[in-house]
Amino acid sequence: MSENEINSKRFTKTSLVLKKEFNEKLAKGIFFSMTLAMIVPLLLIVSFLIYKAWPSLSFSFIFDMPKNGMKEGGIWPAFLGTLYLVIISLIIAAPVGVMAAIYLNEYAKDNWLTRTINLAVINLAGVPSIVHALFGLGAFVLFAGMGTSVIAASLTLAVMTLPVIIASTKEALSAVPMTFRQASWNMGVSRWQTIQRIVLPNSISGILTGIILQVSRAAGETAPIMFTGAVVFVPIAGDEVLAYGLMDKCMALAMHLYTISTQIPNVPESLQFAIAVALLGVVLLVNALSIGLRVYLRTHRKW
Amino acid sequence: MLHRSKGKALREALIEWLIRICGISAVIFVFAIFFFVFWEGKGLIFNNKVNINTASIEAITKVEGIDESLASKIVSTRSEIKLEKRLTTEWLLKEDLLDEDTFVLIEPFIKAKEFSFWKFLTTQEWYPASESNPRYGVFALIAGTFSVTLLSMLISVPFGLGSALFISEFCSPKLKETLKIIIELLAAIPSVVWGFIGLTIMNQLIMSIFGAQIGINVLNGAIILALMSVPIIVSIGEDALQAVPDSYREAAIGLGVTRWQMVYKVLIPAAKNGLLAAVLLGIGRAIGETMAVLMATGHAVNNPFDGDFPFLHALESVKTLTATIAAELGETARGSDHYQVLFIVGILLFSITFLVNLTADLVVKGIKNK
Amino acid sequence: MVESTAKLKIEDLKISYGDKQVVHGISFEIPRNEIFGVIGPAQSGKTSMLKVINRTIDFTANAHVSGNVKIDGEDVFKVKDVYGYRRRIGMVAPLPVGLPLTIYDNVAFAPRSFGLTDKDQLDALVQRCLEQAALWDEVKDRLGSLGTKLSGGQQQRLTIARALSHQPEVLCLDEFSIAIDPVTTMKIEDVLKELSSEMTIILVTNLVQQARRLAKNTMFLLNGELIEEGATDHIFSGKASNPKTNEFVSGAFG
Repeated sequence: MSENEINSKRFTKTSLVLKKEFNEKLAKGIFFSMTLAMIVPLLLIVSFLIYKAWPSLSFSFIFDMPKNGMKEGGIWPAFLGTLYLVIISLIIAAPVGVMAAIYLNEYAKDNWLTRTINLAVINLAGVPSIVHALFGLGAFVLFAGMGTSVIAASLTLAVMTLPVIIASTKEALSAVPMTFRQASWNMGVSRWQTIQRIVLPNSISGILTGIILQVSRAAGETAPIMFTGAVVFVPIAGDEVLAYGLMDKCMALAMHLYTISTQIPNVPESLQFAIAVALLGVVLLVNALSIGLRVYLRTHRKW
Repeated sequence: MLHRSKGKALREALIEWLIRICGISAVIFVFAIFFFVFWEGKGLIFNNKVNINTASIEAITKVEGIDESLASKIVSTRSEIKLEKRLTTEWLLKEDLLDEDTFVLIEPFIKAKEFSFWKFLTTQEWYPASESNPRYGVFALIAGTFSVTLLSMLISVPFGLGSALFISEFCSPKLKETLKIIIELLAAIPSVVWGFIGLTIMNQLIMSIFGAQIGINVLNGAIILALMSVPIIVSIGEDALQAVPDSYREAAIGLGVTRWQMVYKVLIPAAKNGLLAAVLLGIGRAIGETMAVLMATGHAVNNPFDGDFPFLHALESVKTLTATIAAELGETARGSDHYQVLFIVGILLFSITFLVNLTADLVVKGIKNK
Repeated sequence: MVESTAKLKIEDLKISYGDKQVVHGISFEIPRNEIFGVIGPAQSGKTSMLKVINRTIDFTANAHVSGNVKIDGEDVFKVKDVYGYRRRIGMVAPLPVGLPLTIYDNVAFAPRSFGLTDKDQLDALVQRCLEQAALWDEVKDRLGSLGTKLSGGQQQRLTIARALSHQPEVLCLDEFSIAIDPVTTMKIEDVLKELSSEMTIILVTNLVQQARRLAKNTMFLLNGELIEEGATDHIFSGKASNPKTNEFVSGAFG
């Protein structure tokens, strides 16, 4: 064998190598199709929803009152109710959640209490939404005597969103390097001042991202508000933004979709789909906002 | 020269106390949830006697061997007492409605009607609204939950872990970003919208593909649940894969193995706890999911399992634990047996998901300690 | 050494984290207004000792400290206003830390947190500290830009300026030159020589020659034990009383 032949052999693929390469391509192909199998149906479903909803979709659909036993017209009271529930629940959950995260990330020592709290946060996040509904009914509606009302439903939603706000805030806080805190402590700046002037300003956008994400989750929840505040129909004045009081019952978009599609007969199909698309639109829009904010932040870091 | 003012120090101390109180809020709420759900359902567990209602009184009068005058006396006394009082042998004795002989006759009747937790878990008969003979057996509901969860996991675990592997190991950074965003959006779709999709689109599809009479059934719920759990499995599984140090990958690739060999010989064993936790959290979500299952599985108390092949009848409608509460709570009166039993179902659900999440947490901790 | 000239007096200091003891009962004195060198290999308890001196060890979970640390005769662990106390100690960490604030705000951070709001006073203070840290000329035209965007050497000088901003009596430097270039190191060494006339400087260093160049007295720590302490010239003479010291300074280990 000449030297050339040996060299050319050394760099050709043997059957074993070819087999390995084939396996690699096969694995990659399978995983890729699995990923596609998850995403393509989703896109098809969303397009189908929009296609079916098209006849009923319009700008005024959101701002109109339901008519003719909810078989015609818009979704304004439901839309407004969702807005109420989401805003009030976040006003309650965000400060508590952020402060709990500050405690866990900045103050807590590694002891049994901290481990218990972390375990509680994980488990609170895993409580089924219908159990939250039972809790809201037992604690807020009945025990606290709020009755089925905007405030009872908002509180229930707040308890539900709390663990996720804690988790996302904790993540944002721990992204601030420890050396910043140490540098500040070394200068005799107190713990809280350090949090206030160094930690929070540098994590506030991350915290906000997490909270915005919860807006979309709270807006889509149905089970927790079913027995605590949301009802099938509440007539409100169409031009009134402050239509609901804290102790009033309200409508909600997610609940509305459930009622329209299961409880009321002979609702035109396009109206049902339009409500689904409206809810999906609100949720995905808020989510996209949160993702956009996160991407922007990643490219605009201060350190 | 410069001193921290007293007022400022006091304000800080106050804020730090507030932070500490908020810090334990999660613990408070977990206990509060357990407490209040238990509180509303406790009557049936501790005071597990038969409710006095027209039906149960009338049933007593028909027990063999009770004479008519006593029967009418029981009926007339009953109307004077509040409804929430329970029909017990003690009460009957106290009200002088019972002598030793009739006691022997009535006791088995009352015993048979008493709520027992064991019977609750193991019997299949769920007739909570029956006037004459309400029965609360959640076994079929558990079977419903289990069937839908099982089938959905059979779909979502391979797809979820496969996608996690693809996103973590096989795709370009740019595609990875895009896919992660899509998965995040997928996770954001509200469960009621998923339920609606099941009720409309999936319903039609299943009817036309499988020729089933009803399209809202185990299969429908499982597909919807699978689509809902996949994002969780993907994102947590991907985290677990990312947690494997790059040095493992480099060492394996340095030995000349292909990427795929590296993945299944090095990466999967190294990340197996994290992947298991991802699956467990997916299961936890599937068990607790309410609205989608309520709308997509049909409403039939039904055990879809049996001993013959294929063991699981995926085209039958079922009712799950979560859907039962959501569908029936609105129609019950506070304090009634039916109302209380739904809260007991809630406690059951809470305990199941608690265990699943606890296991997932322990599995994840197992990695960290290693 | 006469008692009254000692700035810090440390007696039988023991530090442990959980079950692991890192400092095993060391006693020494740090004289006033001079540079005191601390040398020793990694893991010998140097950083923990500094954390005790400015009491940031309080923030470390499961740290246990015993013994006496006295500053001007006052027990460090009995001071009531711990934040006020920390202000008396300046601390420079091994890696430069520019806080994610403007250069100006970096230096004005501590004074502001203690209630100094007067603009003119702050301006003067910022300028003086930056001048003392030999950074003023390089940054005076861009005080409004981010401190984190400076080069490593500049950030380390910014850290020193920040440590000076609260007018400390003792300045601790923990291996300050570990991440910066030799030219900047020399610049900072000159700064330290200047400063040593007005404050006590504790120079923990990974470069034994740096201690030799700067310190009047030097202490050698090994695995949490005090091996030897004395005049720098003696430590580096090759005739130190403990053979380990001679080995270490001549580069036999460490």
